[in-house]
Amino acid sequence: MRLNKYQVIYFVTLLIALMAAFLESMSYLGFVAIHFFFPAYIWYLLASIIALVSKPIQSPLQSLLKIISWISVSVYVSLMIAESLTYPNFVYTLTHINLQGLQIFVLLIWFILLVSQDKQTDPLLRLGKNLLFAALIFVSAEGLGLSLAFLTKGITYAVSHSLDSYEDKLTKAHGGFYSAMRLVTELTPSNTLILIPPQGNPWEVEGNAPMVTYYLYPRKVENLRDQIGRSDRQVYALIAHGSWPKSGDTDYGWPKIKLSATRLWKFDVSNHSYLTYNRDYDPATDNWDWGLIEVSHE
Amino acid sequence: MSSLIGVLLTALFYSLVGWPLTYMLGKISKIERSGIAFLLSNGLSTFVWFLLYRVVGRFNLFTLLLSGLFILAVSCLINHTFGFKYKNLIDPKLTGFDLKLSHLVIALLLTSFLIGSYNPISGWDAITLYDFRGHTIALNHSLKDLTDDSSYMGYPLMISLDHAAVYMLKGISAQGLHSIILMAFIAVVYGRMCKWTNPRLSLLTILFIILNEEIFAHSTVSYVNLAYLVYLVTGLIYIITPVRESKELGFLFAGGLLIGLTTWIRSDVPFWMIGIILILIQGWQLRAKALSLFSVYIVYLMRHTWFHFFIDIQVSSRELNESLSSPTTMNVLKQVSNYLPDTETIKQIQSILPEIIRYLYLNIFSPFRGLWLLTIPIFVIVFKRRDFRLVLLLLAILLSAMMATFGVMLFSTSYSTWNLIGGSAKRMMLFIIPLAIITSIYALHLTGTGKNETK
Repeated sequence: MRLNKYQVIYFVTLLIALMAAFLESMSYLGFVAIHFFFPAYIWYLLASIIALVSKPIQSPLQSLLKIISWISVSVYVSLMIAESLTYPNFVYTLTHINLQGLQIFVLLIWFILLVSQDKQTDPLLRLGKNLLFAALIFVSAEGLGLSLAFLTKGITYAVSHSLDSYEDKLTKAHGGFYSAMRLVTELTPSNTLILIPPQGNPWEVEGNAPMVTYYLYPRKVENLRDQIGRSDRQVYALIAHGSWPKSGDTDYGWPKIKLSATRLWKFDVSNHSYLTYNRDYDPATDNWDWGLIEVSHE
Repeated sequence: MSSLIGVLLTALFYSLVGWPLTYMLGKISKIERSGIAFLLSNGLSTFVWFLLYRVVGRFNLFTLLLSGLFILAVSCLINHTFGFKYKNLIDPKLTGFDLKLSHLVIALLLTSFLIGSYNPISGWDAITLYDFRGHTIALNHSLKDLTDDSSYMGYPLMISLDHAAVYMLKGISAQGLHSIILMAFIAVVYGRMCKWTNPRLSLLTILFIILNEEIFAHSTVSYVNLAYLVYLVTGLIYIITPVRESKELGFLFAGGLLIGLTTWIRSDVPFWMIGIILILIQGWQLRAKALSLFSVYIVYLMRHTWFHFFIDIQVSSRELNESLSSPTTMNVLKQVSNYLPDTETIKQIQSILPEIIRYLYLNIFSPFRGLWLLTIPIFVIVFKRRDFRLVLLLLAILLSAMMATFGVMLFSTSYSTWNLIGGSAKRMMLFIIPLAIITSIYALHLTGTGKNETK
């Protein structure tokens, strides 16, 4: 196959653009601009414009473009799945492939492939149609990778825990918090007031009144700040070590003040059981992971 | 099992009640009819259920049934008055690759239902708001303990009433209903795209929508975002369905109802205004000004019914002063009274403009960058093909970007923690996914056929 000079310019530009996209996929965005003077996107733009104004290319080269396009999109989808199933930046850590760079590579090569086989003569329409097609392929490839990972996780979990009851599932979703809430509902009448820690680290969940109310309703739930006020309801206070990792100045353990109590319960959330003590609450000795205080008003 | 029965019974009830209401749409396929019947009736039955509660003071299965019967009676009356009849469009027969694609779509939808029904309700907002209200309503048969706290009433009740219906039917989790909302949406989009393009492109459209992870994941959790996008996008594509020749004006009215129902799901976002703009344009274009104004009035009526109730409960609340100074109430009062910012607000926005731009880039542009990119070639095709429906679709995308920008600007002046809840802004914009995909594939179809479809 003999190439005329325009075709040579087309293929050289295309090769440089693809090389630039490949290099940035294997390093970082901006790598080409730093090491080769010209920013990569200049080459992308140049290759796209030349492809748009050129005639459709011949079979062997088109087949090659097709193979590279399909390989690139398959690699991209596979890496997206891997990234979603593990942790953010997993792919870069393991393979040194920069997914953002690879996105550009996929978009560019598909655009060039589609333009190169389109017989449309109007360059503007050629641009619109093929850019739209390439962008749709890119968007759906990204969605496919993420959705397949989500599906895999969802189905695997459902199948491996297929015999779990709804309560088992909630325990797995919320850990000790849900078990503690169940024990509180078993130990307290429905017309009581439950005091919980202030919302904030490390009591992000157990200090969130709407969240606790969801499990304890119709009991009334309030965040205790300084002193226990007067209430026409029997008052209980949750004992909570703090289920979130500590990130601020506030230390673990709540309540932080001594409380006059008729009973204390120390929860064992993993066995769904508790120990009962008939004495006052002292934060120095009763700093348990989970528990409950029946507050005495005397 | 009880959840499954509860969810399926609720869905069946909505579909049956909404069926006669679809006669106004003329000749549509059974697939699309099932989807739109469910969506219209889900929104309208819960809305009437709420209105009935305001009269009789009780939410129960009997009043839900009465609401359904009311919708049914009104639908029959409309059909009788205007002579709307059941006319079925034959679903296209799928073979080969198309048939495989359709099997894949069905498998994906069933998987979404399986995951949604299996997983416990554990999303933060679902627990603290939507599902909690559902449980409370089912338990008390009223809004007791919810109206005392403005945070529980910050969002309209549709999704919570759906959950309440399932719990009244002894279900344990209503999460499966959200997959059914997605199924209904997919059925509607498939039907519309079959009419606008061809079966292959319709299948690709719905496949691209389902395979978007954000959409798929939202169909398995009990949030309002999926329902919101479903009603908004269905409303928009229904509004732009009628063309001058066909005069399918029933779509314009149904679109108005759907846009009105978006305000029954979320009242804190401004995108219903896109619907209003498109209804007015279509009313002018189709020479159906009276119908378009009536549709706009329906949107207004639905939106204000909720707002007046919200203001009523705020004012009658025991902690009047406290509640009136709460950010939610202030925001609502601002929205009701005035949409235009004053000079002080503009100055405030100017002072934090770089931060707003960064926020918009991170949460509105960047998560959907591929989809925003689609608008560039769509512009080119609009310019070359001059198809009116495509112009309206592109206009809807551009208006949504504009409203998101202004919305964030105003929001930043009302809430001190505005920049900490970027995830919420991203979820608010989810509707751009199906809207951009539908627009792109329709544009692609126009380049393929090479003729003006709706000029």
